[in-house]
Amino acid sequence: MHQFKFVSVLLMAMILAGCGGGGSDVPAKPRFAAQVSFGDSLSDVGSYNVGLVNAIGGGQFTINAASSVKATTPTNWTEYTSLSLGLDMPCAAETGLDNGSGAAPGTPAGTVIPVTDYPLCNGYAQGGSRVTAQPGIGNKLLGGGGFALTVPVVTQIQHFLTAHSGSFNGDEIVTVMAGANDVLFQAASIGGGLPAASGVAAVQTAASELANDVKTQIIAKGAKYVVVANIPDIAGTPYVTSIADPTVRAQTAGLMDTLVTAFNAQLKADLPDSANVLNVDAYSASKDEVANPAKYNLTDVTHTACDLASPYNPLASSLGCNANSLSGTLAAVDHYLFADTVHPTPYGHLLFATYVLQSMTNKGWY
Amino acid sequence: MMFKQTMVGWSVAGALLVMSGSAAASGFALIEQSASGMGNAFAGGAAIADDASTVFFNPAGMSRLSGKQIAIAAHAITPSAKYTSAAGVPSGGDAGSTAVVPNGYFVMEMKPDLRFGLGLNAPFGLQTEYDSNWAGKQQAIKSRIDTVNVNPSLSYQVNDALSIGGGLDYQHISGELSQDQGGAIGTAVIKGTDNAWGYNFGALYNVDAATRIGAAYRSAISYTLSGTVTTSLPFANGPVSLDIKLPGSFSISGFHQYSDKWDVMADVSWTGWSTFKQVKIVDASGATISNTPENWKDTVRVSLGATYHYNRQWLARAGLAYDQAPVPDAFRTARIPDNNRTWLAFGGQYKPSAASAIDVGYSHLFVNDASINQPTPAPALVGSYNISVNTLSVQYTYSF
Repeated sequence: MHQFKFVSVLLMAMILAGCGGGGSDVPAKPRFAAQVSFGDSLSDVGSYNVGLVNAIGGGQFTINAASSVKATTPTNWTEYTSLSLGLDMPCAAETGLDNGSGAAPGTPAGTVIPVTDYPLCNGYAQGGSRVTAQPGIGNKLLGGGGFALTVPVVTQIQHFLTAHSGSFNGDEIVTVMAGANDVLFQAASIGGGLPAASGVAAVQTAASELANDVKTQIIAKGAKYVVVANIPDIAGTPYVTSIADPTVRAQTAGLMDTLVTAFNAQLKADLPDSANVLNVDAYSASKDEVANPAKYNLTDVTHTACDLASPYNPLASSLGCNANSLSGTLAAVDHYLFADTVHPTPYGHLLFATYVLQSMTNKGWY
Repeated sequence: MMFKQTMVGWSVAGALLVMSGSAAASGFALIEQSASGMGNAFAGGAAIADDASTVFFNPAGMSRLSGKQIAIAAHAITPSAKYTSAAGVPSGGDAGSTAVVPNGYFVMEMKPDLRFGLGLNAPFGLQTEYDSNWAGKQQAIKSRIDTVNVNPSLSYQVNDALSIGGGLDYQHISGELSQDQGGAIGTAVIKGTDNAWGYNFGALYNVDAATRIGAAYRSAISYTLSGTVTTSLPFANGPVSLDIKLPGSFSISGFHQYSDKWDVMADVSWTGWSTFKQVKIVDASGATISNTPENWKDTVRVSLGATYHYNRQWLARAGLAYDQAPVPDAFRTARIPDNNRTWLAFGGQYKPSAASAIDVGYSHLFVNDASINQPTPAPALVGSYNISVNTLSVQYTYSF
């Protein structure tokens, strides 16, 4: 009898020792139904891929893939992330070109193309767009024959909401990357005589407006997963590093960095990481790529992969760049960081997409 | 003599390091610890105590052995796991392959009521490997977990009816995970190792001369594997670590000598797989570089077996078991496409002499088809697995 009691006690002790303790389950990863992108040229998947731009084999601000494979070849970071999430290749929600001439006689062929909206496409980012204000960079209002629509990010978001009954479903991954054109616009204004402090204040205002847009027009409208990328390091781009005069180069670099860091700091302050917001530090990532190219298998971080004087690319921007208008063979420039003076090559985009996906992994979103 | 024993021990340990592999119990536990038990589908494991492998199943059972005994076994485990997409397209080939898992046990009588035992075995193991260019290469190419367990034990015979026993478990784990992350990173290979301590104990109670009940517990063991991730992007390479808690288990077994010819036995075992929540790999900065939710559940395994004694030299065994898988359908991954399984086992023993025995056991595991629905990293894996496991075990036992 005593032995039975002993065994019973032992068994109970074992059961108590062994049971339970598993803790609560970890949440399953979100299953995204769509990717929605707002921003500028860095996220533009073909807003201007019509008319002249399409005719010369351009369309995105990078080394464009050949027309025959463009629909299946990712060259922009938002395309890489969308495909990695098992979603479709993104398409531009709006296309068109407008040089402001109204197609009057003498207008370069193919630079006035009516604006067309594609409600099933979620790539709202447009090259040249600023956060709130027009004119964006490349817009007709700035003169110089610009034809970019540059719909501001705040308006891009409104376009999405209009096309989707005023709300997000909550199962979208939303990417927001803007501000670089506000920096370029204010830098030009400072160059034209605007006090530097006013320029800095203007980009800080833009950052606050972007943070507010994300909070009130994206998250408050139902989005649960918003990736917000700050402005990459502009001072390290060929736009600045290729300036021949060392004094001017240093001054420009200083000004750009002041504006970029002012915007980024304000954005982070107004829109910290939260359950719905993942801040991705494009600034630090791009700075490290330029400083340590070997770590990223980059072969060149100072020159442009595109020949910006190529007769095949009259736009003198990566928007019109493809394999026919490179500064070398595609193999040679394959791991260049920059396609033109500010935009990454497809490999540069791939590196950034990798960084974004890694950040999403750390967040539990991927 | 000691030198010989040491040599045997290190040989087994070396073999374990090289060869332990595919999981045949649910999850990635390896119940394949004896060929004698294999014939009965490991029914009665904690009560049968008929050779030195009781060091693993229930150290209290060592009290039933006298003198010295060594038992060495090897198990050729051949799992098969073939993926077919929902559209009916197979991919990846057979993720399973034959692995040989050895184990060795030694028991010696120190005093009439005290036994010392030593086990060298692999209580956990896993290997799945797909064709490197298969549809799910972004989610898994190779997954490997090896363990080597050194298990010194003591048993004490309290009285004629009751024995108790316990042991320490010094366990080494090594793991390897690879997948093709595409793009800039290419194939990522993550490797890590760790060592940790656990313990186990048990009791064996003789209800009467023909009937005994055993209970045994093995503790969970917590590891922090340290290692490296290697990719084609130097930026992504560096030190990594992974926390993992391998589960505890608890078994109650019964054995009854029905007649001179027939023995029957049964077992219920619980394994605490709910400790296995996720595979989360962090880099040196503490950032998570890979995270797969697992959310496994505790499992129960039930088994029944019978042994027929043909004569003093020959006996035959059979067993049946049902083994729950810990993997919830919603969290099944390509790395461990597990599902509930039914065991059908046969075996036998031949005793060439009074001091030696050769055991052979074979089992086939009928595993339910396993669904998978993992959208990311894309391309998605949506389909099902056709799974089975065959295991052939042989054992040599020598008393001296």
